[in-house]
This record gives sequence, C-alpha cells and structure tokens, in this order.
Amino acid sequence: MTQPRHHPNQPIDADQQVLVEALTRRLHAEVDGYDAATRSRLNRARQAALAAAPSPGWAARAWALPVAAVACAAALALLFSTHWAGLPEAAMTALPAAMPADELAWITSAEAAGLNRQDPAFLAFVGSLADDDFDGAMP
Amino acid sequence: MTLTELVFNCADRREAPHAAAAARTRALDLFLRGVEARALRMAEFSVRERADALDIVQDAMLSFAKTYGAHSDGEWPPLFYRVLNAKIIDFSRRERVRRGWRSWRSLDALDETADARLTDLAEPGPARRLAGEALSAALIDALGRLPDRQRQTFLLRLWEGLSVSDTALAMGVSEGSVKTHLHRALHALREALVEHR
Repeated sequence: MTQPRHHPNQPIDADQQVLVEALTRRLHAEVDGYDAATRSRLNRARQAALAAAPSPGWAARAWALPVAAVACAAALALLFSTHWAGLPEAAMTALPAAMPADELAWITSAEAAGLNRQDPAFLAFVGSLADDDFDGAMP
Repeated sequence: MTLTELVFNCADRREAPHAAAAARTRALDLFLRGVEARALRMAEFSVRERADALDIVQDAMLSFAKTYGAHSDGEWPPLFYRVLNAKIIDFSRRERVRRGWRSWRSLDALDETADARLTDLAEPGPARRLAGEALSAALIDALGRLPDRQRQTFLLRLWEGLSVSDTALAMGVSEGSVKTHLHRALHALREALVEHR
C-alpha cells in the first residue's frame, strides 16, 4: 500500500472531510436499513446482556465481603485461643477451693487404702467427714 | 424537619439502592441500544456472514455487561469496542484454524488476508440496495478493502467519534499508531475515490 504523504498529526483537509461525510452518511443509512429480524436479534442479545450485568448495589457492597471474612476469621481465632489457652489454668485454680489436689491424690492412693484397712482411727476420721461439712483441712 | 419529611427521607433512603440499580440498568440499556447496530456493521466488515457478526456482537455485549457493567458510563465506549475487537479477533482466529490455515503469522498478518475475506462482503445487502448511490458504494467497498486496523481506526475515530486515546484503548495500540492508521486509511480512501472518478 502507498504510504501517506501527510504527517499523521495533520488535521483532515477539505477533500477528506467530504469523503468522511459521504462514508459516514452511507454507513448510517446501512445501519438504519437493518431488517426486523436483525433488529429483533440485537434486541434479544441486549436483553441477555442486561440480565447478566452485575447489580450496582452488589458492586457497591463488594468490598464488604473480604472485610467480613477477615473479621469472622479473627473472631474465631480469638475465641479458640482464649478458650484453649485459659482452660487448664482455670481448672488448676478451681481445685483448691474444694480440696487441695495433693490431699485428694493422697486419700485415693494405694497407701491410704492400706491405712483404711489397718487404722481404725483413720476410718473413724473418714466417717466423721461424712457427718461434718468438709472444709478441706486435715486433722 | 417535620415528621412527614423525616418519614419521606427514610423511605427515599430505603429506595435509593433500587433506584440507583434501575438507573444503571437503564443507562446500560441506552448505551447498548445506541451502539449495537454500528457494532454489528463493524463486525460485518470483518466476518463473512451476518449471522456470525450477530453472534460476535451478542458475545461482546454479554462480556461487556458482565465485566464492565458496573464501571462508570463514561468509560463504556472504548471498553465496549475493546471487547468487540477482541471477539472479532477471536472469531478470525477460530476461522483460520477451522479452515486449516495453520501459520505463525501475527495479528497484523490478518491485514494481508483482508482482501480475500472481504470479497464476499462486496455482495450488496438490503441497505446497500436501498441507498443505491454508486459513489458511496464505491467508498464502502474501499473501506471494506482496507486492512483491519486502518478500517477499525476509521470507524472508531470518524464514525463512532471516539477520541484518539479512547480509540487507542479500544484497539490496544498506541495513540501514535491510531494517528498513523487513520491517515493511511484516509489516504487509501481518497485514492479509491480518485480511481472511481
């Protein structure tokens, strides 16, 4: 193809203007002359496109989804961390109020079981516990 | 503020998102209604059959609405023609593969086959028969024989009225390329006009 003699930045001259107007007029006439079937098909295509378009409300709120997801994950992480980290400490601090853990272990040990059978005084002491309110103190 | 005004303001706020959605849909409808026929004519220049061109325009409208429907309506024209251009190129590639034209030519090589592909488009359509003007028909033929890029530049800049930057965005080329393609197109069309006379 022959190269243009004009610089690309040069504005359109009068001849070219006439040519452009004739062409665009013809193109508009062609487009206006599309038959009903073509118009109908374009209409259906447009309706399908409109139905597929994202909702503006959803688009405006789209930023909220990742923020909500991160917030939920953080809340769950906080809940689990406090629950699992706090449970052993709470259990250990709750025991002394009822009975010292070492005393409870001693009473249920094999040695204590032997004493139970051999020492009538110990048996009397244990029996007295059933009658009195036990305050955790040993005799 | 009276209680009535307060109630109406609250109602307006509840209705605002729905009104905005309806306005956006209406704007998109108007935009697509305005460009669809010209988009079809542009696609017809590049493919053989009107049915194929209609498929291309339908695909382009669907992809455009899905991808760019939520964008500002001022951005729509170049984005729509960018999508349309991509669909035309995709179709041309599929056609080449279907016909067994296996080659490693670049997209610019499409220009070389423009003459062969556009020969069929010289067949007069209903609108052309309706107008029946020899000169403008010769110009349309000359436009159809232009390389794809030159014709696209002409149509987008001078028919669709896009700016240089929007045309560059739509075609995926630099603004300098747009100016060069346009002047080559105008030069070729003027040569065709001289030959016709």
